[in-house]
Amino acid sequence: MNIELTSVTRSFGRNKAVDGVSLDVGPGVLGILGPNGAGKTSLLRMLATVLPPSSGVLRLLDRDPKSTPQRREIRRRLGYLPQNLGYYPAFTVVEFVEYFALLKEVPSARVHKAVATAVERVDLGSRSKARLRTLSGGMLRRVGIAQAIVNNPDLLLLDEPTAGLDPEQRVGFRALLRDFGQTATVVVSTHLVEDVGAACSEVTLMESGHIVFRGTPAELTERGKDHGVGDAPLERGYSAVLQASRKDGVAA
Amino acid sequence: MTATAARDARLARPSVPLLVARVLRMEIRHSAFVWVIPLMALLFFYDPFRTASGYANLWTLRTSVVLNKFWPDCVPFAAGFATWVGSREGRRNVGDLLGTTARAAWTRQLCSLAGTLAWVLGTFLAGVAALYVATATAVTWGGPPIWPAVVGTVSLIAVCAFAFTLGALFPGRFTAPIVAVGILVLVLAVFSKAVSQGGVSVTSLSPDGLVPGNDAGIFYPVAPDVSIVQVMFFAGAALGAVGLLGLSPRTGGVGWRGALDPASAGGTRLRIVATAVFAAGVALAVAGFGLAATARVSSVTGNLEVPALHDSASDKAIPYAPVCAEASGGFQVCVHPAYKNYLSQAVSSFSPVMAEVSGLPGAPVRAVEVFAQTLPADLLNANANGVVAGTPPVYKFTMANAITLEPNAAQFRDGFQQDIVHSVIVGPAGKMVTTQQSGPVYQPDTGTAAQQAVVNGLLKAIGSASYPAGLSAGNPSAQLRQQQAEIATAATRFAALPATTRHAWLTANLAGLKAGRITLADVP
Repeated sequence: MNIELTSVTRSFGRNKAVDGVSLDVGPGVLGILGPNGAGKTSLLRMLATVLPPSSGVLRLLDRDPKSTPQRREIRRRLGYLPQNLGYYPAFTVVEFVEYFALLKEVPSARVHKAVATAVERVDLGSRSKARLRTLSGGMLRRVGIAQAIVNNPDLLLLDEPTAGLDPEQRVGFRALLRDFGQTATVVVSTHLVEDVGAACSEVTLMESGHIVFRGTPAELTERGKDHGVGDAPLERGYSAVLQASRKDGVAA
Repeated sequence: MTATAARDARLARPSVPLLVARVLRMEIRHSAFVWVIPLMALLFFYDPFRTASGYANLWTLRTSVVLNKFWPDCVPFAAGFATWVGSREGRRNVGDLLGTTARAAWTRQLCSLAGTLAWVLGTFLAGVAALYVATATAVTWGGPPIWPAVVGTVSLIAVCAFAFTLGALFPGRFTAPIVAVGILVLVLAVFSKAVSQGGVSVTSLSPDGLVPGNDAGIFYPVAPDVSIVQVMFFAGAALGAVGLLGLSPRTGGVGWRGALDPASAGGTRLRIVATAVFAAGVALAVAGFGLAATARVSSVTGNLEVPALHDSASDKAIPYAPVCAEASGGFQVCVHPAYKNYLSQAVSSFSPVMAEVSGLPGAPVRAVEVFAQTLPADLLNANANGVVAGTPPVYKFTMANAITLEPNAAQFRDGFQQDIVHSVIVGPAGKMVTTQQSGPVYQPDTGTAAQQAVVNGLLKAIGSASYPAGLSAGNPSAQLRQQQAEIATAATRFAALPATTRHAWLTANLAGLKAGRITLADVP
């Protein structure tokens, strides 16, 4: 398993953003759905090793992130796109991606090729020399994705990756996710259920720090069969699970 | 392991020097400091460069602007810019992104700092080089002093490291201007304290200090003691700041909330290294601070010395061959080769006065420039330039008053002439006396009324200013005013005499005049 969580909790003061989550994830694309404040981003940040759990056991890529050498090894094989992408406006696309390739300790001889491949995969080859300050929001998002995949990660964590992408780019991006999911574990946190339906082999639904559903997109769709809220079958499943979990008092 | 497998394994390892070189190249390439350079160039030209160009053509004097002018000009820019770069990760919200990278935050931060230093030091050293080249074309003796450049470089590294760390610890858009202004105020405060205390104390740690005397580094080598202490202190401060950067969980690349978590703060080895760097820096800075407190002025060389570091063997006078020229009547004037540019000016000053006094008892047979420190204490404060002493009499002088930062034409013309006339007619310019109120003070000897009249008459005849009046605090009494008027009248009368008549009268009456037997009425 590339991700093993056992009763993981993360608190911020009195607020439990993630509350006793247990999760095992192997290769494939896992979508994390949930309303605002459900704990998706906190969970992703823990998986990205930028936020340690308050309690519980977390293992990534068969390693313990609490140990510095093991954490370093995890980070070499990790790709992460945060929800709010910060960037250096004066850097060009290639420089920004190369900067992260270097810091992720991509072997020196492979850096140039890895950067070029990553930039091409997000369809920014024609803008590779453009400074980041000149790019649109969608393009910046693609730069963020490029830096996340530049080290060909075994664990790819993407927080709202399709925000700002146009429909054509979204289609291409979903194909990219499926491609990565063949060999790596891809975790995508999103509000957009159609992304999950199109790209994810598995879906997890979070509510108030808990995982309230885990299954395939088809299974989630199935849950919404007799539910009236939502325009699309997957949306109906999403709403049905949330309503059921609230009724069961999971949030409490 | 086969050769191919070994090569693959080697290729799979990231090369740290290559990583650092590439990141550093990006940092240098994208540095915003390039926009500050034109402003700094303008400041450099109008402040240190023009100031140095106005100074006398002496290495130590001219290059003192490196630390006294250029360094303080650079400090606020360097501090502000380093803080701005240091706060970049916080300002740009890239903490999470960078926090997931394998390489320790310290590596990339040191690369950012190195990129900043490359620009700051490049600009500083380019200015230093321009100053040194301009000085090299003007001076006649000696070589470029290395210590101002070394101290300036190390202290700028310390300023940048300190400011960068502050920026990293407290990221925000206002941090940079606050740090820049704060460090500027600190530098100015230290400087003003150094000046007010004469530069001898821990305030001598400030690179921005007093302007050295003309003779610094000319007759005796400049002792590097204080420079070494300054380098120790600033190198320690720089290491301390860099160590703090590595130690601080805040700069571990994860933002404030997760700062104290072990997952974010770097490994044990990094912490050990950072702690060692920090401790070494603090120890070095404290040692430098302590040594600076022991600095004292040498009575022999005039250098600021630190006893624990001082090498007495370096106190030997620098051998030199004086350059000489002849004034009228074969009067020889010799100066140190460093002052060769000013020899003709000195000769033209001696010529008219020697025409008046040569042949008289006590008149000097030649003039020799000596190290100012070897002349009687407080002589220069009494506006004298030297003394006539020895047998045969020799005028030993300094150019300390004639060249106060830049050559003073009036002092060149009048100063030497006044000294020689006074020496021949009256005797020594003054003497040290001890008073109950203020201890030992230098008391000028202006001579009797007749002597004053003859001195001023001779000076008037050669077109020089009157000999400076003696001490007279407050308004002179009516009796004194009347006496001064009588002296002035007698001086004018004596000056109006033909030169041969004056000389003949002096030949006949000098002994009586010096003995005080000649009255004002006796002066022709």
